[in-house]
Amino acid sequence: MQHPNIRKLLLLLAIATGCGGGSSAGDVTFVVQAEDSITEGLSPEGGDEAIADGWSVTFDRYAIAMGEIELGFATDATRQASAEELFVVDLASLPPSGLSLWQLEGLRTGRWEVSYVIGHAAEATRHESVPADAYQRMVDETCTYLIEGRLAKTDGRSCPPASLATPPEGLTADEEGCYPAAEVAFSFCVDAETIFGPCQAEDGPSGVAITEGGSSATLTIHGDHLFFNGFPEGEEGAVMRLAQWLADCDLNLDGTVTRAELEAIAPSDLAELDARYDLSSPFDDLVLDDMWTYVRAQLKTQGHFQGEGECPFDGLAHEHE
Amino acid sequence: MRLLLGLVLLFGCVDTGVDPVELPVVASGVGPASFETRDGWTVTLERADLAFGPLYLCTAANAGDLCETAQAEMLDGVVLDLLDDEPREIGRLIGLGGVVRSVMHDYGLTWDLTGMAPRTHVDDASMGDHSFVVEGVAERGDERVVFHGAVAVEPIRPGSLVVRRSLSGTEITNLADEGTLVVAIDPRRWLDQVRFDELEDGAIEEGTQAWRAVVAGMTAQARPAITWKR
Repeated sequence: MQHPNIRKLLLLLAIATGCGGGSSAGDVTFVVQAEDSITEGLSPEGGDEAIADGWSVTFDRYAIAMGEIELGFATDATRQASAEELFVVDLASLPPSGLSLWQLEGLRTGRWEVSYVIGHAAEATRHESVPADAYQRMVDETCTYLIEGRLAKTDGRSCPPASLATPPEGLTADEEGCYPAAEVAFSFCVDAETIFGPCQAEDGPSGVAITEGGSSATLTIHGDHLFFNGFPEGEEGAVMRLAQWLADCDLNLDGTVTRAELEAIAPSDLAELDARYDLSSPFDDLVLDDMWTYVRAQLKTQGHFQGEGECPFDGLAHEHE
Repeated sequence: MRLLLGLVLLFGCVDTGVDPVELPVVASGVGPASFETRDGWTVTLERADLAFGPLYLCTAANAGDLCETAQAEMLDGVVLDLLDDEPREIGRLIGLGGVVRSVMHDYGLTWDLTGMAPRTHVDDASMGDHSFVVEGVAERGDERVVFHGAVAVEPIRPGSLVVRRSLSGTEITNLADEGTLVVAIDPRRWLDQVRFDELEDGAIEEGTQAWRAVVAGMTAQARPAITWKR
């Protein structure tokens, strides 16, 4: 935890006492942006986001249904606006500058609080970055995410729990119960519906300031939480990124980890989830009895704002009209 | 420190109308009855001592780093006999009236922001710097395993607590409206996924499936439940 940020408090007091905000109007554009962990993958070398156990990660597809942006005027809770459309967009194919998908016009100038939703594909419009068959899979399986990718490591091994492993005939484990696995693919269609917000820029004010000249704000999706060794609400600086656990979930050693395999594995089955891990999920309604639930819980923490800014995730399903 | 600074900010600068609160914290376990686990073991506990605290309640929807100032806190670290189902006062929750939406706590081992390593928060030599000390017997058909374990659940980084979760439903409340915080702790679920047949000499030791199952139970699967009494 950190000490209270006096600058933030003063800013909030200024907002609460009515400073700022006039009767003029402006527009705001919302941009969806993928963290470079999604577009460029994760590597075991260098940087704050390196995978610590030698695996590299690439994402072939990172489709997500998101939108339903809600705005609330900071000094007048009755003044609200929304951009209700959900889009299914493939974050893995986005340019670094992101993609402008929502625009609201004629809003009163001043500071507005922002929240948004990761929702179901069935309620969303397919963006051209997502092939029709991938979108249809998300609809059919009631998904908010479709994530496909690969782990790679030259001397990689998969070490599934012995009591659950079903290796093909003729394939034998080494003395540590592991099998060669230089590459392990994964394909997860996941229901991780979440409301994010009110959002706050990193070390900055809450929400977005709308001016007469026009404003923009970025909804940023991180791609590395699946590999975190815990659920760090807020500060990610001390997080360790590890991928061996996922390689160990390939129970039938066919080179691809599936939902069924993750559902069959309890956290305690995985020797990798040792004292380096902190499994305290913020979501009381998602009991981490299996690794599929673990994946769902991690994905429910990935929504950010203006890059590294934070959006509390309430974990509550929302109602649709 | 966080709370003091919060009090100064609230009472020194702005008349918020928020009153201080001090509530008793009452905790209970589950009693000594045997129970059956996922794999068909009938388990009888003979000892289930838990180091508990400190505990913080937050206004923020998410605990952890997003809770920069606790709304109320119980700084005591105490040892609970979880085989005692009688509610007993274990400390005082001190803070300010206002809505709380998340909670975080440790199991007797804390890691301060400026600390070099986790340290015990309870003054009880019988715990041996551990969070949970358990002894019992597991039986399944002809199998009988006398087991014992001393599990330390430590924060993995300075300033972090081992349980951080959002409150839900009736757990969310305004502290000004409440009289007692009731904490109910059920250790049976912590042993539910232990493979007793894999224990060596009955020991639940770090690095084993049993150790991981207990820690996952304590931190993720069956965390202390919170209710309020007026």
